[in-house]
Amino acid sequence: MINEILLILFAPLVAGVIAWALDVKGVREAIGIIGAAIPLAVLAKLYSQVLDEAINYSITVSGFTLQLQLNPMSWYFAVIASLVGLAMALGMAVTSRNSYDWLFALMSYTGVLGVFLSQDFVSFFLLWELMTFASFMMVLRRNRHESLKYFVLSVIGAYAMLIAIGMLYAKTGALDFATIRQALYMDAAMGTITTREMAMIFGLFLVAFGVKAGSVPLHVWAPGAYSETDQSYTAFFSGALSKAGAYGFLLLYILMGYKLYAAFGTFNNHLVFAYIIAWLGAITVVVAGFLAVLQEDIRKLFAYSSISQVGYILLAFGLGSTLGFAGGLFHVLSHAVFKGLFWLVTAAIILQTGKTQFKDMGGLAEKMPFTFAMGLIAVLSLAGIPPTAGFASKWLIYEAAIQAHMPLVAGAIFLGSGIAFAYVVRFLYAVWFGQRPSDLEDVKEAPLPLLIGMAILAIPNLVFGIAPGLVTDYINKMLGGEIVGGDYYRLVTQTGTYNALLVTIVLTIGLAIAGLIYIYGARARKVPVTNTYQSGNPVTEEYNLSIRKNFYRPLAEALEFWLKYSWDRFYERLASMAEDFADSLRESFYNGNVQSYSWYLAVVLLILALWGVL
Amino acid sequence: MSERNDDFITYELQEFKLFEPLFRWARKKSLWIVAFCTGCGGIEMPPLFTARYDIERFGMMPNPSPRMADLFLITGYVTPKTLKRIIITYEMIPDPKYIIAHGSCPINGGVYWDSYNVVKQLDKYIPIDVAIAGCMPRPEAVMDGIQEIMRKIESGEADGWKRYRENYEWYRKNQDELFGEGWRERDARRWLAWI
Ligand code: SF4
Repeated sequence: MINEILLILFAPLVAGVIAWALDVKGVREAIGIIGAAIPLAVLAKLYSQVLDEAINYSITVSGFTLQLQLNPMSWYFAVIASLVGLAMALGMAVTSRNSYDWLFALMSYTGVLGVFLSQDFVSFFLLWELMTFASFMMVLRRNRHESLKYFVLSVIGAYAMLIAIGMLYAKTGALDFATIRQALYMDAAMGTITTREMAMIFGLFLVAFGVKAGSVPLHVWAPGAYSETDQSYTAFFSGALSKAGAYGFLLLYILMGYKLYAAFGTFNNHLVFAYIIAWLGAITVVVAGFLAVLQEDIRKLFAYSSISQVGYILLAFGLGSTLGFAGGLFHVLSHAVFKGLFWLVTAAIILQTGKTQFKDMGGLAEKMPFTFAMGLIAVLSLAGIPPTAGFASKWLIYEAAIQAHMPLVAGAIFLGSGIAFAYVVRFLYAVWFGQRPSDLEDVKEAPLPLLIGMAILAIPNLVFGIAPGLVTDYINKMLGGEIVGGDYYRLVTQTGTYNALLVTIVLTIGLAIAGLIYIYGARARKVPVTNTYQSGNPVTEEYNLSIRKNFYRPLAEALEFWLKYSWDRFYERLASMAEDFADSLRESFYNGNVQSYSWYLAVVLLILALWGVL
Repeated sequence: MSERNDDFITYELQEFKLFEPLFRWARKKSLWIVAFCTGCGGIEMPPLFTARYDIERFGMMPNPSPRMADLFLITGYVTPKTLKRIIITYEMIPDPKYIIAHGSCPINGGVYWDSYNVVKQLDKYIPIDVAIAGCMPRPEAVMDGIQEIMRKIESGEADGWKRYRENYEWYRKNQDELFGEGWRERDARRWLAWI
């Protein structure tokens, strides 16, 4: 049905505009939340209909036919985005400062949904740009430098995509996905598009989607942009917007997978182009993971962690097997829910304490118990501990990597998981546990809307962790085939079985037994935090007993050599070189000397004369 | 200051009174020592743990953390400065906990009977369960003391931790007389000016 797609797509944008125009405190929040909830509600209603047949909508604007389609895959991505979007709106109800935030946050929501729903490159690109622009405006408000960094890289990505689209259009004469796909499929046999051209198109798309997904070395915008904005919005920024990049990689397969295979062939039984994507993902996982461990700022830590986790998705897609896609798609969901949750927790912490550095925090678990519980769920899910969604998705990716016979890539994800554990422990320790600085004594629990937003994201983490079959079932339908077997509670692949319900039951029983032993083992008494063993020395609250700075200093020292090289500094230097070059151009050519302008004229005339024009 | 110090964990299993003999047996068979070496006995402790005398066959383990330990060896003279640390460490050990004092110094000051800086009678400050005389006692003597504490644990006579709890006022008074009231905070704050 026509109206439903438009409703999904434009409800957030319209709500954003209304909220911005009205700008009445209380009303704008309500409108924003309603606008953010509509897509989720409509998508939920369309669930069974989408599985039967895709819903189409097309409109012709200025000679271009824009096609939007709600098919099983776009439904999956859109539902994830709108889930995070709703949580974001609830979070923003307390953290946003003005209507400006609402306008652009909801605008980027529309952009992301549009990217997922588009079926032709015109609408894809338009909505992609809307998404970039709106998220840029969100960052611009807080930090000009970071926002410009994000903008320049996004523009490079977007125009790389534009060139690639242009090349595809020149070769196939079509802009809609279906025709391009058909044409490239045929061309794989005929080979009219050369390998060189194909390599260029592929490279340009890699840049375009790599920027949004934040894959190394195009990740440098993410730490700054993710931290310098409303943290509730970052839940969407990193939870859903980064998925547009991941979706782009999927699109590469759908549109030109066969042609890329024909053009590049295979290497050690892997598709060459997929191999490149897998390694991009693997490097991203490890590099960003190590950088996350070394951060001293809560937002920076999660920014790098987000980059690292999106690397898992790229890696899974790069494995090229259907199981890899299933794992990657599952991880899209679990990353969206746990990372969105993390950012909302961060938003709550920053809202209530006003601090972002680890060195200023500690012992907040007592003051914000619900937020802590939510943070703990996110930690368990990110670190991949059953029974959470993060475990199920990572397990599928491991299985796929092992099945694809890529030992080094599999090693990279194992290493990445180890590092992920290291940085979430850092977060748990520095923020929630240990001694509380005296200026945090009157911190309160996060406000209700934010808590509801967190709960919206925490529930899928647990539900899809205990019943991962719900997701894999849908993924099976989406990819067409029995990729991951089993039922709601069991995942079965060719090499292994994961029974989430059994694990949950065993875990619960284990916890119950441990609890009994704990309760009957000894009568515990609460002691103050200073009653701790400082080698027998007396201590008071004036001593800082928690390690709040340089937690992983030995790791930093071990990595010293590698940390000398930074993409960040490389780009900064490149930017300043470009700036200097522009300066020198201006000074040397536009120098105010009338005679040199006449000389330019003379030179041009000379060239024309040599050319034979005159 | 007469308020009760309740910074340490009580240990009374009312629900399992029936199993008390079992628990006592288990306790005596696995005494973990908090590695806190004072005085000359510090040098006589390693031979106990190592190949020649080897008290690990009694299930004893040296262990750096008071929270995991139940046996505290005071291995020699105790200065007031050390005594503060001993008291803090002792209070941090969960009940039930036992103290063995080695050598003459903890009993009556030993050769330092006329020193201004040695605690003459340790039992006034923390409750001692078994004392081993000698300067320095031979490892055989220490092992004899260990046998003695095992016997006392089995029979329930090793009740220093109970005495400490019940007579806390008295112990506290003696401690405060020696160090002055509020000595914990005062001692902790001493270093703040030097940070
Ligand atoms: S009793 Fe003898 S060996 Fe033991 S601490 Fe005193 S002086 Fe040293």
